[in-house]
Parts: sequence; structure tokens; C-alpha cells
Amino acid sequence: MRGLMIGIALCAGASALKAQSNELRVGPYIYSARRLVLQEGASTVAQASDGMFAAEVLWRGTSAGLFLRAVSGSFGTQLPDLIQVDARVLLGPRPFTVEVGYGQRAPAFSFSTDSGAASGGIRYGRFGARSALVLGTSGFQTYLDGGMYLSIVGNTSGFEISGFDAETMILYQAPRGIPVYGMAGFRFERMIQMGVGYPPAEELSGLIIGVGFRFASKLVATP
Amino acid sequence: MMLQAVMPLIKDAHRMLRAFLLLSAAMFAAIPAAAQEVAPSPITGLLRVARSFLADLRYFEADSVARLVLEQSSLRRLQRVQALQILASANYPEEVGQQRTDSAVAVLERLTRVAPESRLPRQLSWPGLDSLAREVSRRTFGASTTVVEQQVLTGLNERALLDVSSSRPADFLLTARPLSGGIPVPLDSISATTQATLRFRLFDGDKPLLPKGEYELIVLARDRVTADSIVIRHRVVVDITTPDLLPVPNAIDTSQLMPERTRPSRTKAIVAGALTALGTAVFASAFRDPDIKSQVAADGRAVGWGIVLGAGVAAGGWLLDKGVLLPANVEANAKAQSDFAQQREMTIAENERRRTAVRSSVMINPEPY
Repeated sequence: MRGLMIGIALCAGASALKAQSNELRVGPYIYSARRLVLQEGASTVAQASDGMFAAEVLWRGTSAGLFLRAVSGSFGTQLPDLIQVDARVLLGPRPFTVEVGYGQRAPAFSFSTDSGAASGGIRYGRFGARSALVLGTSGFQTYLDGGMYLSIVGNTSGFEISGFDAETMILYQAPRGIPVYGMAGFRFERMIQMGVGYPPAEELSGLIIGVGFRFASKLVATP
Repeated sequence: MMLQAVMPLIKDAHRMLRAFLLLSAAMFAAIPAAAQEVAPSPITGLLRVARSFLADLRYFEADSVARLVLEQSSLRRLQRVQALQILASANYPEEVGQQRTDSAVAVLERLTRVAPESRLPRQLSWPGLDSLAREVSRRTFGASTTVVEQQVLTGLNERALLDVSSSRPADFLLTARPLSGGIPVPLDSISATTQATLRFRLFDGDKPLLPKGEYELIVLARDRVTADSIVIRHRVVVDITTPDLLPVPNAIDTSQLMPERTRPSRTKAIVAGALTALGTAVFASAFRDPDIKSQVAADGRAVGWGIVLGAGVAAGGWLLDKGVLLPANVEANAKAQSDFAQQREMTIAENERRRTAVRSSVMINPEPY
């Protein structure tokens, strides 16, 4: 499986290099999150809100690309801290892109190779789709993104659906000027069946606001 | 007494002389035209007779003949001037007894009025007469014109010329009135001068100022001190050819130009805004876990935030999108503009050539009236 993913990534990178319209986006954002965790027995829901910090890197060409994302945040004493990283390969044109990714989600700074263990975190594969619309020469772009998590169960050879995520985002970069963008959006995540020692269900939702650098060979849509 | 007795005889002699001269002139007029081309005109003959009388100190006869000349209707300007000079000399000879100062002054005033630039010939004058003529010229306003009879003008801007002079500083105004009727056209003016050249064009820009036809050139000379005025008229025949100019377009026909930008994608902006708003609201509620959903409501910020995002991106896309630049069309339009400018320059150059090639003529009758 790892070999397959590495192969896909290499192919995507090569494709991006050949692409006529390249884009590199690097930037942090703040994730004003509300976290809901269903306790064992489904009797109560623990709730906490706090700001999470995230950063993402996007590199893509006309028909392929790479996306890296890392999020971390703390929710006081009621809920454990959270850290999540994932990498995705993007395939297809901007209006409809298929995403194939891999990630880990765990309490802060406690990753381990023991997938599914409560002390470590879960590893998952992510399959999704995203649609990006460039609004002419206005400098605005919109993103709709959604995906499904398939967790790799450590002691078995199968996959289980362990969650979903969905995101809307708008991005603005002045058509001329310094390569700085601003973005705002909304993100929703739902995790289920994360494994032994994890709560049976969890929801994370919140507002996203970020800025960063964006370099693109074509900043506007082509006719 | 003696003089009174002789006067009727003198008058009879005068009448006889007039009859003789007129008869001579009439006989001369009867000579065939071919012969007249080489023979002097009757008036020239009369002037010669008058000078001859003057040379013989026969002032009375010289006076009579000169006055007879002045009565002729077909008198040319030069002949009129010569007749007046003879008359002035006949009325103010050196012999004091023969001098008739009032008559001489009146004649000199007439002379100055029509020919302020003229000087009495040495054969006809003497210092006393010269002095009297200068004195009269100083206090009498006179004006005259000098013309080149035929003038050929090249192009639309060359001007015909007409010289004017006056005995005292005067203002001159030149106008032309069509003989077929119409409003006089002001052509030129000049102020406070005794000698000048009035100039006039036949075209006003590309349009004829004086279309082909016959006109009366009118020179109005006005004494700046006394406001006394003199009007001198010349007949003039204008022959012009209006240039056949090509129309010069001022601006390129915009229908020939291609759009340099795509149309703004406003519909796309609205759709994107709606999808963003809708997606935000749906994502926050559609994928929720049933157990959590039963205990805690969906994130309430999603709807409001979705509307803000959707409205923002729709408004931004609507207002800021100017369309994508189309370099091929820009290049094609630049070439079309360049071709248009080049064609326009060529048209202007051709029109200028046609303007320059225009030949017009002005024939001014040198005899004023």
C-alpha cells in the first residue's frame, strides 16, 4: 500500500511539473473549532471549543498536485489535545479533482506506529474530491472539498470507514501585486470507529481564516 | 469793356473747337478696329492736343480739351490722371495773370482723391504748381488701388494681392460682392497705413470662399482723422476648381474590432456563491453522527458564516471580474488600429496633394469705377 501511494505521488509530481499552470500555496490558518465527543455508552457528549492552528501546502499543476496539511489544537482539560496531519495526491483538473491521501490523527505529539492504539493514534487513508472554481479575473476562488477516511486496522488486513470531512473555502488574491492570499471557510469532520480506546464518535466543526503566500504561473482563469 | 466784347467770340471759338475735336474723335472712332490697334485712341489724341496747347501757352484751349477728355465715359484711370494734370497745369501756369488758383486747387483735389501717389510731370509743372500740389495733397484725402490683372493661385491657401495707397493714414477694408447678388464677403482689412497690400484667399479651408463667378471687389478707404471715405470698385472674375477630397475617417469602425477580454463570469460568481453558502450549511448538518446529533445541535455558525462566504465571493466575483485578456485579439486590434492610422495618413496625404494641385485664377479689371 505504501509503495502504491508513493508511486501515485511521484506520478502526480511529474504531471505537475509538465503542467502549464502551476500553483504553490503555503500558509497558516486559524481554525475556530467546536469539538464534540460522544462518551462511551452514548450517554453524554463532551463539548469544547477552542482555536486550532493549522498550516497547509498546496502544489498543483493543471491536472495533478500535492496537498499537505497539519492541524493541532488543545481543548482544555475536558478533552485531549488533537493533532492531525495528512498528505494528499490530487488528480484531475481544478473543477473536479480526485484526492487520494494518507494521514494520522492522534493526541498531540504522541504518534506511534501502533495503529489503533489509544496511546498512539489512528492512521487512515483518505479518498475524496474537491472542486475549485476560479472566478475570472476577480482574484476569487472557491473550494468545495469532501472526503472519507478509511482506517487501517493494525491487526487486520481490512479497512473500516472511520470518518468524513467536508470543507468550503473562498480564497482571494489580488490579480496584481504581492503573492499573498487570504482565505476563509468552514470545515466539518466526523470521526467514527477509530478503534479501541477511542470514543465511538466525534465531531469537529469550525470557521477557518488564514493568510499565506501563493505563487501561480497563471493567477486567473484561462478563457 | 474790350474783354466783354471779345468774350462771346472766345466762347464761339471754344464751341467750334469742341465741335472740331468731337468730330475728329468721332472720325477716329469710325476707323476699323484693326487699324485702331496700331493707331492711338481718340482720347490719347485729345490728350496730345491738350499738351500741345499747353506747350504753346494756350491755356484756355488746353483747359477745354482736358475738360472734354474728362467728360468721356470710357475714360481709363491713367487718362483721367493725365487729363487732370493737364487741367491743373492749364489753370496754374507760371504767368501770374493766367493763374486761376481756385480752379487749380479744385482740380488738384480731384487729382489727389483718385491718385494720391501721382506726381505732376516736369513738362507740365513748375515749382509754384508743385508747391500748390503738395499743399493740396496734404489736406486732401485720396486713395487708389493698383492691381495685377491676372493672378494664378496655386493650392487653397495662396492669396491674390491688391495694393492700396492713400494720401493720409487710413483704414482699408476689402470685400467682394457677387454680381449675381448676395451678401458681400469680407476678405481683408488693414489699419492706419498709407500704403499696403490687401490679400485674399478664394477658399475658406476646403470650401470655396468665392465660388466661380463674377464679383465686385470693393475697397473702402477711411481717413483715420476726418473719417472721410473713398470707395473703389473693381470687377473681378474668379475661376476656381474645388478639390475632390477623399473622406478622412476620424475614428476606426469599432465593429471591426474584436473583444479584448472575455465576458466577466458573473453567472459563475453567483453559482459559486450559492454553492459555497449551501455547501457550508449542508456540510454542518448532513454528515452528523446520529448519537451526537440527538444531544447537541449543529454548529450554529455554519449558516451565517456560509451566507457571509457565499455573498462575499458572489459580490467579489461580480464586481471585480473584468474578463480575461485575450492577447490574440489585442494583437489583432492593435494591427487594425495601426492599419487604420496608416490608411488615414495616406488619405490625408492624398488630400493634401489634391489641395496643392488646385489652380485658380483671378482676373481683376484694373480700371476702378
